[in-house]
Amino acid sequence: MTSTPVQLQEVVKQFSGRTVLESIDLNVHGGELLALLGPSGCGKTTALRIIAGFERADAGRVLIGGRDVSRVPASRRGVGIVFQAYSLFPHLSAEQNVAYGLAVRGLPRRERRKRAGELLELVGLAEHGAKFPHQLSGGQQQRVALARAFAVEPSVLLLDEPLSALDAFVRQQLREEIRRVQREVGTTTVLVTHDQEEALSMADRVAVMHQGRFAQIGTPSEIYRTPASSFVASFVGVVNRVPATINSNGRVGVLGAELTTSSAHRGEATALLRPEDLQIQPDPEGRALVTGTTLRGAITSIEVTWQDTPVRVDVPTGTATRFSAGDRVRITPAVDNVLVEKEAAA
Amino acid sequence: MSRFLRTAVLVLAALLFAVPLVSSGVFGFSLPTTGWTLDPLLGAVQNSQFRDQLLASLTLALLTTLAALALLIPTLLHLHLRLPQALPVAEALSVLPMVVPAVALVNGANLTFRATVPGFLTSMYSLVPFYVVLTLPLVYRSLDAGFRAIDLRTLVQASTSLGAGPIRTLLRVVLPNLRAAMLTASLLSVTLVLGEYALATLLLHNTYPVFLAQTGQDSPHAAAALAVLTLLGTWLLLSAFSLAGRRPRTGATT
Ligand SMILES: Nc1ncnc2c1ncn2[C@@H]1O[C@H](COP(=O)(O)OP(=O)(O)OP(=O)(O)O)[C@@H](O)[C@H]1O
Ligand SMILES: [Mg+2]
Repeated sequence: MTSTPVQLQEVVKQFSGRTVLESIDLNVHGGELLALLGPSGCGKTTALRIIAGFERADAGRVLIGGRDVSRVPASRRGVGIVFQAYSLFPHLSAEQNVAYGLAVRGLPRRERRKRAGELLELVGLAEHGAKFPHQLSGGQQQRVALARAFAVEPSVLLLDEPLSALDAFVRQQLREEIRRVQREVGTTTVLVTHDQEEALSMADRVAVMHQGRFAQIGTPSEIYRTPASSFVASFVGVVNRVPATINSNGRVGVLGAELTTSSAHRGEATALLRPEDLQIQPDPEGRALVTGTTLRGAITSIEVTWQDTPVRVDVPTGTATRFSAGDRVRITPAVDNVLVEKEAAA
Repeated sequence: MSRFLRTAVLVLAALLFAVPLVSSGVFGFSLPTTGWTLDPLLGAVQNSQFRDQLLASLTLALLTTLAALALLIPTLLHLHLRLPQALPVAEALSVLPMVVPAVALVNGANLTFRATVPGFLTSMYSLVPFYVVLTLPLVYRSLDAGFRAIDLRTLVQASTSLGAGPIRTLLRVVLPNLRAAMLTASLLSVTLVLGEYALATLLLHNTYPVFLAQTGQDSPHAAAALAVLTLLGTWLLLSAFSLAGRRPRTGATT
């Protein structure tokens, strides 16, 4: 592999005195799909726009293919973008939209048409080339936008919440589609999303952003299984916050069990436990009480209280019929290394 | 009942609209002694000033429209892309010409220019800047509506990220999507200039509306006939413009 396709080095961005990006560093590896995941307003779009060249960093450097592009205009960066809003040129057909960037490059008309046709086929819209954007569904428009961005063979593809305007079914379909096309073409891609499921299911690596910084960068399973902070743990997936005490040996007493933690903190704390990391058995002598159940599809959530603390336990839906509101149960955490927060649970 | 009412209102409105028009037509194309005739019209049209002054007005209309578009499209582009917070101010400013009466405008201009550049007002083309100011509120509004109807920022950024420079983006992306708004703006500007009388007479320029008014004094029949034809001409223009603006796009290929 040659140089890293995209690098952000100590990039700072302020808007009217308010710091939106606080010196972020990021290396996007060649051919990977990296998701920028974070809550609304944390600076994801800003980071993307700085890579694209629509926004200028106040400090730091942006490198594309090892070259400092801080002073290169957006039109010369060779970066493809798919926007959240529908961005097809309304006066051009799907095929003409895809061919636009090729025309800019001065490709002769026949080659443009041929290439545009191939790209539309790649995104499954070979039949729709003559249609205008207003004649296409939202999902189809985003596919054309994807084909249009791929047409100019960008060194980096940036996707800013490209699916957020679509309904759940189409979104799911397009996730797979984008992933497939991205793998096929092999373009290094940065996907911005605030949807953790989208990030975990699509990305090779996820960069979790929080208040203008990266809280953690890692593979989806690292992010999910070993979150670096309680913010990451609770933003990615669901966690129960349960009161715990850590003794001088570093053993954590939580839910009546004793577990280990790598935290150096001692004394009162809050343990973060995922609903699927808790085991639950019916037990008339149990110290937890079922308050309700919620069917979520393949899994069912059993809501229980344990000494006034609400706790959610996820079980396969097939086994959920053993529990109903008012039952006494025993819950046991089944994890090696508990993540704890210093503050005691409220 | 409501259907009857609707029809009645429609018929009434049509009558109110058509009666003066038909009357003018009858008056313009007939003489008390000879009956139906084109003589008054032909008389007026053969007047050498007819052609000159019509041509003058058409030229003024064209120049005014081009100047107004050339002035406002870049301005609005800049405002929408870079300074959206200034849009309300710009909009308020754009209606100012409506509250300044033509007489005040001319007197001010007279005082200023006769003192500074005496030659300026003697050229007919000196009307163009005044007309641009007059049409400003209408042209501004039509264009602004066009800008608001598209997601300008996203389209410009999409074009830019595909490698296009600002000129190409303007010509290939922005202007095509403003076509309908530009047509409306042009139509308003052209009709306004073709009907503008006050400024032209006050500044002593012989335009088509001035010709119409003078003809009205010598030959009321000819003036009526011309007025009807002018109206029809404007209508044709209007239809042509709106047809062009609505040209179906479906089925077009690369
Ligand atoms: N042009 C701008 N001028 C002023 N403030 C801005 C500008 N663009 C973004 N901001 C602010 O910077 C912060 C980060 O914005 P950004 O759009 O990057 O967030 P985001 O993570 O993409 O959020 P979302 O998920 O809602 O899209 C926000 O508080 C926003 O209000
Ligand atoms: Mg955003």
